[in-house]
Amino acid sequence: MANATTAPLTKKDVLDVNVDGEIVKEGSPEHIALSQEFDTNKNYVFQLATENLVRELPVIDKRTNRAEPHKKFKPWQNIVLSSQIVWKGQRRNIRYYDGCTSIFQDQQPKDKEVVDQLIKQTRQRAFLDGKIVLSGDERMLLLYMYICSWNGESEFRTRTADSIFVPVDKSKMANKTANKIDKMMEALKASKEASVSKMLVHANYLGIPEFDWDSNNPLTPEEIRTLYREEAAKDPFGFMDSYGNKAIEIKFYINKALLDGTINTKYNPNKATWGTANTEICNISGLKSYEAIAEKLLEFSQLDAGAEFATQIRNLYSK
Amino acid sequence: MPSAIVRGATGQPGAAAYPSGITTGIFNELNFVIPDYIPGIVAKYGNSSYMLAMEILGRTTVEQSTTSTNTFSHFEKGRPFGSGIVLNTVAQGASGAAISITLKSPQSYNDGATGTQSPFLLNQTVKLRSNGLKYKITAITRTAGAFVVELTPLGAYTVHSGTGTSILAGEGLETFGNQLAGESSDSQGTQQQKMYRYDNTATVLRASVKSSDLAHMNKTQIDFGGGDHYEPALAVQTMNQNMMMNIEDAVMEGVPYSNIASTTGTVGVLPDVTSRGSEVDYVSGSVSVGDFQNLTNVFDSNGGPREYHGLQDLKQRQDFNNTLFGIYRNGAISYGSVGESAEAAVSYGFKSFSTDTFDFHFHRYKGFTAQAVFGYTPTVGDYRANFGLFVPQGMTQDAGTNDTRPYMQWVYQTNPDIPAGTRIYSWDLGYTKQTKTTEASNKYEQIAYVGSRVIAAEQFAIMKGLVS
Repeated sequence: MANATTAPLTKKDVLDVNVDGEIVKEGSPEHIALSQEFDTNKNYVFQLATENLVRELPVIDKRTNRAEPHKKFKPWQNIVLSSQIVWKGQRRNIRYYDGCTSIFQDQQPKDKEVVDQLIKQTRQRAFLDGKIVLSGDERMLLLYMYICSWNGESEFRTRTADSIFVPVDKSKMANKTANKIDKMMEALKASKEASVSKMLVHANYLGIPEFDWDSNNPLTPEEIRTLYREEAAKDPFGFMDSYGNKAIEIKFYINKALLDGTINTKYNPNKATWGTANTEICNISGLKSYEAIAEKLLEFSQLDAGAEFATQIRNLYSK
Repeated sequence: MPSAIVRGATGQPGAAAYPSGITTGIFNELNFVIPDYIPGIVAKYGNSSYMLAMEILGRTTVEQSTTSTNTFSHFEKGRPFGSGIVLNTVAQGASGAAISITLKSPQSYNDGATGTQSPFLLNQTVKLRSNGLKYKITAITRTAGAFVVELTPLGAYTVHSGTGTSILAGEGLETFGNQLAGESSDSQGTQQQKMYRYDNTATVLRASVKSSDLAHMNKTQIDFGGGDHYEPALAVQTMNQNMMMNIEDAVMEGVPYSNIASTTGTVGVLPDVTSRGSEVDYVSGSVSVGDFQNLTNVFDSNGGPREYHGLQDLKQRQDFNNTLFGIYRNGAISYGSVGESAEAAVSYGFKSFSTDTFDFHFHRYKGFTAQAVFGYTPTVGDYRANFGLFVPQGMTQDAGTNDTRPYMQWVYQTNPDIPAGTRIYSWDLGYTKQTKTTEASNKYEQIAYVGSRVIAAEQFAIMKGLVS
């Protein structure tokens, strides 16, 4: 179309739409929330947001004399069927009654007798062992559950509301697991391919030992790599977060230099100097502990003034 | 310029700490709750301490420790009647025909996949909850991950839920003994309640007061109680009150210890009830009779006793005053027994209400409220606002030892060197005391070894007003 406009829609152009008697802006969070469709053949699960703390001493099953499995949730908690939410920028009351066609209090019957009847006929629902399963044909109840402030993931919850439950979204959980597996593969690949020097620096940061404590023999790079790869599989996110971090590398070299005397702090207790030339690296006055001095040198290496020091120390040890 | 009490009205920041000490003689009224002195103790320490109320009602215990690890235990039995839940919907067969159904875990069986712990036995009679129809268990298959029972109708009907044509997922199967054993019947299988052991430990609480010679000698114009005009009297009284609240908070809220080496804390009443008890939520400001019925329903389901104490923060108490006590002005509310006389109930701060065969005695519990105890208003959340704890009353038997105990207990660990029955041990030393020191000052010390015991936490409940 020759004359068709290509300019994006402005706020003025957004259309009002009517969803079950409620006027909302098309595409707005309110519109998306109210337009949700539920599969009547499916069940929807919600679970309590807070899990039980693990007992310091487990409960013992006397028949087996073994610890009972930890119960993640309390046995029973009811659902409160009315809530305030933030809707179209202001607070609004919603509540659920069995058989009512709106969850908005201002659109529900106001006659006292009818309201009393609705209250009486509404079945009490509760989380049993932390979970409640709702059928897809309970559309209004599901809308209430997704929108109300008690839902910790609701876009419309008020700032002050208690987070009581969250929806159990299997696809989201599956995505989370898939992401973890992807990260694990990435970490395993990195741990296998890292150069020996890079691996040693990172393994040191991850707390992988360089010695076999039983025999007191130093571990070979191959032995360290096996432990390094195990660590990558165990905590792939932590592994990849620190992998290739230049500051970790510099810190490793600083520690080495302090240990072998390449950096001297004894000649002048207020200054870190190069051991042989006695050239000042930086001022460390007031610092006594090894850790504090190492931190100060690391901090210095990250400054413009310390760029040369960082290059020098990397050149010394990265071979 | 007139003198002013610095922040006297709000009480913030509360007690001042004197790291190098102040002074006096020490008491331990809590160890000696003698009926004649009860009014005096209540007058001195107020009626807001539940611990004090329990001391007066004789509901604490001094446990003789038998281990060096300061652990104490109690036993609880599970339900005596077993049930199962159908996992998948199965179509009915012909009238009288047996149908195999798979049961849901862990509601129907546990011990992993093998189902070695299940209430089902061969030849047992089971009843469906949806329609009351009875069946015989004619086969049990304990396959890994699929515990299957075969149901054979006792009469001329099919295996179905309600009035339908299939037995539905979620249907409840209730077990009985063999109700149709017939002639020359042989021995049946055995069913036994599960038995659990709950362990807990006593935590150690300390408090100290140190007073200099001059602090002990210089008389002030203030009577700190009992005609004592010397400043150390106030410090010791503060120590006593702090110790009382310290113990109460440790027992009620628990003291975690897994992260601090060489210590043992205690689980605490509320962590136990939060994990194992029920929770009834309502919208703060509009508690209704229906919410109360939720409470009585869970008590009834869990076998709760007739009488309950409801420890409430002031906001929840106000909700109750506006609704329940407002509605039932002329009946149902009584200042009935909380273990002693109606008069005692009032003086210990209880107000009562009866419904659905349960009697509730409400106690306004200051320990839940920051404003009342610490004199400030929380602004970034308050986990005990609009909060109530419902505690079953009466005595219950330990399933393992048959000892009779209250449902909720303060358990004090004893030391063989300390006089029997002592909850809080106090001692002093100093330049005017029996044990002399070179420094011209006196020291007063307190120590308590105490833990929580919650029996049948399922029969407790938390009631919480939600704010949105």
